Amino acid sequence: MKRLTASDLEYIEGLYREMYTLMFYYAKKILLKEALAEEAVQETFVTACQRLDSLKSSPNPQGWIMNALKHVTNKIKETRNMHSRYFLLGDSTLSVVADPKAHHPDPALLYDGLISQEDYYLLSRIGVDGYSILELADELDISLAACRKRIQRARERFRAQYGREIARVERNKKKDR
Amino acid sequence: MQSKDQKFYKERFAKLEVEQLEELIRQDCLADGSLLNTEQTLAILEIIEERRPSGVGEAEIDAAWDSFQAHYLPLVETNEALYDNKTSRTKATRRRFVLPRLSWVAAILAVFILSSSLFAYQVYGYNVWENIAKWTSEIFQLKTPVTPNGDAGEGMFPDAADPRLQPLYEAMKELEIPTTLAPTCIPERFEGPGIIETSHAPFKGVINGFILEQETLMLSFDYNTNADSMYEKDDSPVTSLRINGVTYYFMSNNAQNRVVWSVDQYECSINGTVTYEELEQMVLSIYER
Repeated sequence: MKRLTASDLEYIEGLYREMYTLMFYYAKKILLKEALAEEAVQETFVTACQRLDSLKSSPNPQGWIMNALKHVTNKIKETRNMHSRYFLLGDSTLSVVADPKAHHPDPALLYDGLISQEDYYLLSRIGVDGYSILELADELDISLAACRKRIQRARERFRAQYGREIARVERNKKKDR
Repeated sequence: MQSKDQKFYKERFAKLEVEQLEELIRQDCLADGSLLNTEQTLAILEIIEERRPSGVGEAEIDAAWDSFQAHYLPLVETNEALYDNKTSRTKATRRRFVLPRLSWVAAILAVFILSSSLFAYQVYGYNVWENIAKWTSEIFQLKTPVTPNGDAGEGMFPDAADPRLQPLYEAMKELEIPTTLAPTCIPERFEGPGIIETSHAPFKGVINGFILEQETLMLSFDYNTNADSMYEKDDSPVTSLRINGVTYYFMSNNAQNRVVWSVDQYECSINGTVTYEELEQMVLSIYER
C-alpha cells in the first residue's frame, strides 16, 4: 500500500468536503441511522484512499465516489442483516429465547453454549442494537481497527460453533429415524 | 463539480416531487444500485438537498473529517476495510423483490422516461407515480410455474409480424427469453415506438410500455427462478382462461386490467387501460403465428 502524500490527502479532503452532505443523506436514507450513515461515508473514503490511482484517473471522480458509496452501503446492510440473523435462528434447530432483543445475562442459556458472553455482546450490539463499529469501539474504549477484529473473530467463532451444532442436530435426527 | 450528464438529469428529475425522488433512491437500493447510474443518483440527491436542506453544515463536516483522520485513516495504512468483501451475499428473498415489484417497474419506467428524449410522455400527462399510489393492497399471487408452452429449443425466437412489437422481440431475444411467450398483436390505438426497458438484476426481464395520452399498455416478461410473483388487485374476482396447458389469470385494479401467466420460469403479464376482451385477443394472438 502506497503511503498517502500531503497532496493526496488534500485531494481526498476536497472531495470529502464537496460530497459529504449528499453522501450522508443517501446513506442515511438506506441505513436509517446517522452513525451508520457516517460510517458508510468514512468507509467509502477509506476505499477511495486505498484505490487512489483508480479514483484520480477516473473522468468523473464524484461518480466514482458515489458508486463506491452504493457498494459500501449495500455491504453494510448485508453484514448487519447477517448479524441480525444470528439472533433469529430457527427454533426447530436450536432453542432460542422468546425475546431475542433482550441482553440475556447468561448467553449460554440462549444458545446452549454456542456463544460466549463477550461474543454475544459484540454481535448483538451490531446486529440487534444497530451500533456502528465506531460507536462500539468508543463504548469498549478500544481502537476502531481492534473493534473490527474482535467482531470478525466473534463472527467466525459463532459460525464455526453454529455449523458444528447444526451437524450434531442433523446426526441426531438421522439416528432417531 | 457537475458533469454534463448530471446537469441533463437534474433538469429532468426536477419535475418530480421530493417524495418521488426519495422513492427512486429507495427503489435503487432495493435493486442493489442497478436502477440509477451515478449521475442520476447525484442529480436526485442535489435536487433533494436544494429543496429540503439536510442541515449538515461546515461544523458537522469538519467533525466528520477529523473523525476520518483520527479513526479511519489508520485502516488505509494497514490496507484494511471495516466491512470486508468476504461477507456472504444475502440471497434475494421472496419478500425482497416480489412485494415491491410493481413500484420497481414503475420506478425504472420513471427513470427511463425522465432520462431520455421520451420525456415528452410526462408532458402528455402520463404519471407513473399515480399508478403506484393507485394500486390497492389486495394481492393476487402467481404460484409455481405451469407446464411449458410448446416446443423447447428450435422456433423459440420468431420475429414479430407487428412492427410495433419488433423492439420487444429483439430485447427478449437478447435476454434469451422466448419470443413465443409474447403476443403477436396489440390494440391498434397504441402506436409505436414503445418504451423498452430491460433488467439483468434482481432478475432478467423486459418491459415494453406504450403510452397514449392517458392510456397505457405494459407488456412484461421476466425470467424468475426463485419467487412466486404477487400482483396487487382490487376486489373484483380473478377469472382464468386455459389454453394449451397454460392458465391465464385476468384481474383488475383501479381502471386497469391485467392478465398474468407463467410458463416454466418465465412470468408474463400484460396490463393497462385495456378491456378484458382486448387482453384476451392479445393472449389468443400468442398462438397465431
